Amino acid sequence: MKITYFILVTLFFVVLIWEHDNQGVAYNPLFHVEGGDESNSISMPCGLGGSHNHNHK
Amino acid sequence: MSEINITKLKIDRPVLVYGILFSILFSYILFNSVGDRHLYVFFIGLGLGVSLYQAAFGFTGGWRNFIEKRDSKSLRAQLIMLALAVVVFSTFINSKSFIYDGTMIGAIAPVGTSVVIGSFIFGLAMQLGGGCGSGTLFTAGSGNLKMVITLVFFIIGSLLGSYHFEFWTNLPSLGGFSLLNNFSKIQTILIQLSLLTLIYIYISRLDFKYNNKIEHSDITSNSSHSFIRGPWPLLWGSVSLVFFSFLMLQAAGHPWSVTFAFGLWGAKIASAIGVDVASWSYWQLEYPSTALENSVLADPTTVSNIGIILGALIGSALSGKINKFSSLNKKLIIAAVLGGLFMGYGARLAFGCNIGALFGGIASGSLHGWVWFLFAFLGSIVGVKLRKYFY
Repeated sequence: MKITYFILVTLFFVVLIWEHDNQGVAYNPLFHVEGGDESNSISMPCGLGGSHNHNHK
Repeated sequence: MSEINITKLKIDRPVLVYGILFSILFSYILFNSVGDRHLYVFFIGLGLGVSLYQAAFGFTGGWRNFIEKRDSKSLRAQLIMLALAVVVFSTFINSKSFIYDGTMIGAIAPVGTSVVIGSFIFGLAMQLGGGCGSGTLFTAGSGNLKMVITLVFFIIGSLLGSYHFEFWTNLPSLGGFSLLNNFSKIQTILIQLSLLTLIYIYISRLDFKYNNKIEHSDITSNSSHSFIRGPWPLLWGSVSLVFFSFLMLQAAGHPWSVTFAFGLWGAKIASAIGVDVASWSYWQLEYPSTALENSVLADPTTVSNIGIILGALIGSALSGKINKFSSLNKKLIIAAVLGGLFMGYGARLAFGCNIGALFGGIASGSLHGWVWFLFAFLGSIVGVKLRKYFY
């Protein structure tokens, strides 16, 4: 059981790193805009994106 | 909480080394190829993982204990955590972060049919799966193979939920309602603290009536607690979770969230095998589409979840309890599959789980957090009845 568990967890971590290596990433793409407090167009990972203090309509 | 004498258990050094090595590896990758804020989020995730594990801070068992035995111990600790979070978050939301140059925001989502149905489904399913959003993560991280199965189906359920997201969110809704946008900070704090106090008193009275005694100090003490090796008293868990959530708010700019990452992992896997996930309406929304286009490590929810898994792993190695692998049987596997699947689906409909919607929502003064709390609890009452067929 313990070996199965650690094989699964290690596989999960390796896939994450492999995907990151292949995909690449822009700097902080999912944090809302730094240096301003108005737009916050990308703000909260609840699914609706969010804008202006995350007020969903 | 476990009453095992921790001093008799040996620290599991290989597992501890494994956890530390992967933590160093992820820290290196995040710092070098993603960004410093992601690194902070990862460290905060580690802190959350250790705290969740050492305090055994789960919503599922606590709610079940109250529903079955009117044992209010865990529920009272959760209410204290919410009260602390309300004070801290109400004070800091909409103000500048001290970590980055920007304004921190709350988790405000619409109060609608999708939240009512989604949270009910989630509450029911978490009793079958044996853990909520955070609970599934930290128990899966601390060596529980059944919870790994729950997590896998949580991911599948989240993906299915994202496929049906447009249908559910088009059903009748009152829209978002934020106390902070309609009242002053002081008023928001007082309104929410009053509600939490009333619930605290009500559940304490039910506990006393049913069990003929109640010890309010039961959440502050633990017969064999140790800061490094645990188990912690529940109150330590309440305080440390609010502390790390506050840091998460400061580093990420939004409250702590868990389940978005599950849907993202599912969408990445589905895309890899040829499913055109990017054409689904949910994955065309601004945040999800950006997350799908980038590496999973760009998503702060993923980063904090990895931190929680590794934090729980390190915590369990320190406590020496990682070796306590429970056996699986057919019924438990079916419960894990159904629980995970419906938790994932419900979380997508309800804009999050017990962390993103209940904790983050109430702490942010959002009405949807309270609605989530009510309907998830009702769902749990049904879930506790169904659970007897599997456990």
